[in-house]
Amino acid sequence: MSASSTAVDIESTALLSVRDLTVEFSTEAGVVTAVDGVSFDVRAGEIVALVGESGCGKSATALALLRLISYPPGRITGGEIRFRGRDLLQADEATIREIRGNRIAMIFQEPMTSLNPVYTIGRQLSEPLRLHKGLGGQTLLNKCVELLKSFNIADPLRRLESYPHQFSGGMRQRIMIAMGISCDPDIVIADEPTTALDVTIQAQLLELLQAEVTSRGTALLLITHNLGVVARYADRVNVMYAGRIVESASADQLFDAPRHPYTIGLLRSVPRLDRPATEKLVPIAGQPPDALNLPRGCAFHPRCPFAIERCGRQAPVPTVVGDNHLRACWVDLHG
Amino acid sequence: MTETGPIGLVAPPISRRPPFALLRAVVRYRLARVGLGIIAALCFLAIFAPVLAPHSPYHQDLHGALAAPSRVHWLGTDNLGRDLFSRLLYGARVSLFVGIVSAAVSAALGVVTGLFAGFKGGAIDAIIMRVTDAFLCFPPLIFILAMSAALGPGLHNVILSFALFGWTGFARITRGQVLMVRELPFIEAARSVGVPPRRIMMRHILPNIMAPVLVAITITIGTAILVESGVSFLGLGAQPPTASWGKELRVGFAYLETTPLFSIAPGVMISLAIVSFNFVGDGLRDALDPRLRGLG
Amino acid sequence: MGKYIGIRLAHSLVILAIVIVLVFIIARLIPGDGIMAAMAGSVDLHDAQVVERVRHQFGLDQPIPLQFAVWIGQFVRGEWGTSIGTGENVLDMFRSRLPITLELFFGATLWSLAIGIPVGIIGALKRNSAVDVCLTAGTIVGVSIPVFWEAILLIYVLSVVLPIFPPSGYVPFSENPLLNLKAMVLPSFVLGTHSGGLLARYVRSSLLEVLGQDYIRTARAKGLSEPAVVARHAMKPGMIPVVTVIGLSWGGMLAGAFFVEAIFAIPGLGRMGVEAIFQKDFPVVQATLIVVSVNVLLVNLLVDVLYGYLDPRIRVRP
Repeated sequence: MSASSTAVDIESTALLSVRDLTVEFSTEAGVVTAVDGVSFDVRAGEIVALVGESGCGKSATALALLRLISYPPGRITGGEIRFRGRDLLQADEATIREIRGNRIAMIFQEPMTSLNPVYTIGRQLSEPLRLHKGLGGQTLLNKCVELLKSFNIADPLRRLESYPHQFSGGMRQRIMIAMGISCDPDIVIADEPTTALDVTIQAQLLELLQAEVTSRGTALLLITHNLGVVARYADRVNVMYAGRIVESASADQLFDAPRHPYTIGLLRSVPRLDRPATEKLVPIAGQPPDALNLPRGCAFHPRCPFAIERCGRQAPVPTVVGDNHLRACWVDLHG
Repeated sequence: MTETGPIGLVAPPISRRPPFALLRAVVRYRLARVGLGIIAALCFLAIFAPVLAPHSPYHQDLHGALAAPSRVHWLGTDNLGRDLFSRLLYGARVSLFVGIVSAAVSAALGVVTGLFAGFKGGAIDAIIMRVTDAFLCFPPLIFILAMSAALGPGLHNVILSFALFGWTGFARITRGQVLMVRELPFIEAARSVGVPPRRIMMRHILPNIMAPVLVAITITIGTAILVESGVSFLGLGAQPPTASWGKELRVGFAYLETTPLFSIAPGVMISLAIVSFNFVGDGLRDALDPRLRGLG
Repeated sequence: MGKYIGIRLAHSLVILAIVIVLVFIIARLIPGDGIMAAMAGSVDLHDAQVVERVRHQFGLDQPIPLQFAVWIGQFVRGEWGTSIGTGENVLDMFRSRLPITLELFFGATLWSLAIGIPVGIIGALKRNSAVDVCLTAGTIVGVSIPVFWEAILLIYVLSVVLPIFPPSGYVPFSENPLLNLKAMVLPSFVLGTHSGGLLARYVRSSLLEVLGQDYIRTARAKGLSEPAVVARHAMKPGMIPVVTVIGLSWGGMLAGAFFVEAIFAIPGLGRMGVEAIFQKDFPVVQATLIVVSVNVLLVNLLVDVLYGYLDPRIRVRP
């Protein structure tokens, strides 16, 4: 289901501009369209959130941006990803490699397994710098020490000689972030960076991440399922459901005046400080859809309290409902 | 097998699949299927050898020795004029018999020891483990050859020697499994209600650890066939006039230049047998492993 | 790391003790009067005095624990006895044959690595392709086919049908290096294919496992080219099992050497062992068993230590 290009053609001056991205996975039971015509922008210096439940396709979207989708079983089957005007999906390998870790960096979810256990931290941390900036020797060492210090990792010289298993999860993630920003990228993609960590560490890490990207003017694409995180840090929010973006708005717009039934449902189901403490939490009815057997028409309609007949026939097209505020729904709602 | 312990609530997490669900899983794997087919064929040939063999494997005809394949002798004759095809059929009996019995005895001895070690733990477990380590310092073939020399030639000694060595592998596997299963909550639950240790061992632990043992038995049969042919090849296993594939190979080697078939045919049989048991063992292992991990 | 080695060493010593007991049982206790039977060829057993002398010579008239102690003492001192068959000093026999078998092993290990590692890597990188399926089938066959038959087949093809290599015989290196190498090609190849096949399977599955790990994805995300990702991030963790496999297949190679040397008529330790077993030459059999088992023990120890060096995680928890 592709987006109508007229509705979302506006922001072609953005740093990163994704249009109609489609990613498919071949499984034993059939082909799953994990990402189905997704379009969004990331502007320079902006913090953009991609929100959704597990399995909605947000991680696949993130991986697709750097063409890290493993084939087999996954494949990017359509769309364009414009970075500084160039379509990454058409670019050759050398271009992509130059961008990875250098202009667009990625931080993954699992700090425990994302670092190579047989090499020292120093070796892995310095790798992007060696590769993209050609640094070496003492300069490289100093830069690494500097990085570790700015991430509050004590005793940096000794730490550089240590191995990943000698660090805690939170520290490893800090190292991953340090590795990501080391080459001063234009965009950092953080795929659920704190999901695997303790709650107390989560807040610490996110503050650190925000401080870093703000001070450097780096854009941040934050993938998460945690609305609280989105509310606190994001400038813009894209809500995903079953591989499609259902609502796209600024953070203020989204939390003050959500316009899609799914977003409304989400916001009703989480505790909020700006609501009475005694207000009940209302979960969204039903179950997330089976990726192999998506409902006909709008993927959300079986669970939607506002669904009309058209919702079961035709998948909605994103339409503008406000200043840079888009939603994909047939039903006219207010707030 | 249905589980009806003293406490109806306490059931092992692994489902007691009926035995032929296991077979179905194996059959799912193509290579294992091929292996199973070959094994079935070999068993058929072995069992019905007396009926299928066109000639007696022991009838000598020195004038017709080392003959090429013909309508009368499908694979030719050996150096004493005996029909090679018939001898190979009877060789199947020897190999399969030795293979299966050796594996069975090794498994019996090893599983009992392993259960004992795993269950008792402590010093007894440590001693038994060190002993198996010591045995495993000997390459199986060398150990069994030496034992054959000590005990004397003959297939019965091959089986005995194999069992005296082969128990170690089974002991280790069984013990490892016992250690793993022993810690599971449902065992603790059974114990806390007062189920006697022996009953715990037989009814709860044993059925859950049999999977890797079954895999090991299959592969061990292949190994035993290999060992028997090797020992017979060197002259210490099957004694004349018994027909064993390994022994035929030994004799055939001497006539390699003139009658290559004499060396090739027995080798093919041995390899087929070993390969098929390995295939089936591999298939079994793949089929059972992921489900085993679901145990915890 | 030191603590780790220390624990391994302690284990090994305990095992060594048990091994020695086992060898004693196999090569002394069980044969027992078998030794007498073996001697029957060279002495007259009807003469009671001769019997008495022979029994005394082998210490068979002593109580068992004493026999054991004496025997260990002799062994450690290098008094390995005399061969019943040839009358030579057993230790000398070992000395003269060791270099030959070592050459065979060296060649076999080279073949094993040369076959196993590339085949495993290609299989992993081209997973499930036609190439991979063929290679996998090849390795299964290579591992299942009996060593002695493989030897016979190769002799048939490469010595009888196409007379490229000599079918048997050994020429010392010092006499004629070229002929020596030519004679060793087939034997070392046959010996190496088994562990080579095993190695290929382990390398392939280990590399595949490593390639599926998250840190490989991280490496790609850093902008490394695919060859660099594989070479720099997948190889080291992926090759760890190579060390274990070499250790695992060492014992198999020892056994294989028995056959290979017998078939190719190479005058090494393996052939000596086979002949000794056949002739019930127990002093030689004893010595062979001890040498073999100590060898395996040492190799296992070495493998454990190497493993600790390669995988830093192991050092922490031995």
